[in-house]
Amino acid sequence: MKIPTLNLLKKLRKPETHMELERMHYGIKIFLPENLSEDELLKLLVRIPQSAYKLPDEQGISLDFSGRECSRRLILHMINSIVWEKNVRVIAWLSGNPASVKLFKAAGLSTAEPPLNIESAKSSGTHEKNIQPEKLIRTKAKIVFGSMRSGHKVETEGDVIVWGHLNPGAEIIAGGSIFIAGKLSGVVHAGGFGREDVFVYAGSFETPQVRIANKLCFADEKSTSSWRKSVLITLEEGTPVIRGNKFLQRTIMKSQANTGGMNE
Amino acid sequence: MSARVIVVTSGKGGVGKTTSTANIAAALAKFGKKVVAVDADVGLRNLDVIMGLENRVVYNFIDVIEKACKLSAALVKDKRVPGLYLLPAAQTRTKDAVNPEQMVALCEEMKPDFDFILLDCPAGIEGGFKNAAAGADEALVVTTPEIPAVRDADRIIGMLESMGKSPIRLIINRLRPNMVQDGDMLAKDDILDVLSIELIGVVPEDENVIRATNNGEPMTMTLDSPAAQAYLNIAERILGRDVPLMDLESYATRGFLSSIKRFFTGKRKR
Repeated sequence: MKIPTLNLLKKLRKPETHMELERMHYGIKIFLPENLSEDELLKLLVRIPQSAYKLPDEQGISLDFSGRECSRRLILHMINSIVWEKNVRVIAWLSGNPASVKLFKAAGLSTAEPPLNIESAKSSGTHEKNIQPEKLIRTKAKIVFGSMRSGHKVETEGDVIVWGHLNPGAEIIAGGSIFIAGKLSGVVHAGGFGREDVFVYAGSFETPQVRIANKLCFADEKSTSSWRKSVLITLEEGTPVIRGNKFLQRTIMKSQANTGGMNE
Repeated sequence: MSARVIVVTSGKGGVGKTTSTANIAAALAKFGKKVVAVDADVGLRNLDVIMGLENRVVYNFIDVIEKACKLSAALVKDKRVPGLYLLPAAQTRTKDAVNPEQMVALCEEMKPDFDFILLDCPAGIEGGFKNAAAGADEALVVTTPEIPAVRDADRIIGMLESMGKSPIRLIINRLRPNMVQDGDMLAKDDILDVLSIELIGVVPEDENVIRATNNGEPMTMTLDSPAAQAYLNIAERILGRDVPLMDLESYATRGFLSSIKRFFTGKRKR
């Protein structure tokens, strides 16, 4: 979705210096014109005032050089005159030219866009229906097909999906969220590296302890009305909140009533 | 002849691995099979006591591995049941005295001479378990209806699966049907729900087990009791026969004493 976000940048647009901007989940993507020489490109970028590069916290800019073959000199000058001078947070250096990509990598610059975080995309105004499938694939999710037995441990930076039960004695530590399709009886730690915008889903909640970010909550059959029920656990204003899955529960009960129960 | 090698394991100690090994081995021998029960619990040998062969042990399987004696010299033949043998463990050595490769070689050496090799595994998940499991193709996991035992069984099943053992089948030992009915003990279905493996038998709690253990006579040899019947049924299922599970609920409603009485009066239930 291309939108006129930075008015000051827009004012600089001329036919010969056509520069497009795109609103991204991580901030702004700037498409740098290929038809300008390296010096003209540098001049153009330097002319943009520092305030135009300012973005909300944790957001940044990606520079897309398209097919341009960048020289070392251009990169050096961009870092000196733009990144350091104007305090610009460039989070990705993108190019369709393999030589340029190689040069970026040699300089230790990131050549990939940050993976999509749906929550931040929503908050930044990007509508969910505009999320491209290839960007969704970039989010790291580990899928465990089958139940995790006692002693089995999964530790990952992304999300974890268990297509089975998490038995007592099994453990998951995820940087992202955790989805247990079956019974949750083991130990889960979502947001294990500090993230709070994560969740734990359990098909049947049967664990005495859940950890989200740096919060620890205890539960048992007596104190938790959602015990042995389908739940979603989130952290809201620093407090773990357990929500029962009432609509699914009703569907299951209806289905059981129609089929005469789950047992054969 | 090439023996089926079955490890009897549990993870947790005291759930009845050795008792199960002795009784299943004796039952298989009663069904005409040539069976050797190997005590793989080096340093803490008990199988010889439970089988009542303690006084006849001269060599042990560590001696065989270290080539201090021949296999035939270390095997103890049970004179009460034809075809039943014991290969005892060393009491004065530790589990480090053997490694998985040696265990595999020992089983391979015995395979041509037997129908079944039952390996009585030590408790735990360390070297002793790995040694015993290395030589086996199949596994019987013993658990009691208690949460710690089920959790340890789950751990062991995961390890056995990763080692490629198949089939892995479950024995639920020391079940008290009346406690299950009162909701004070895990039910068979609760355990199967967690462990998700095939159940091969449920052995009810039975005071005859203690008596038989102290007398050094596996129950399946002579004594008629619910536990003995359960072990006989397990042996038959190992042989591939279709034997229904015992109706343990009737023991709960009528009480154990009346159930045992019914056994002795000839009204046996399977």
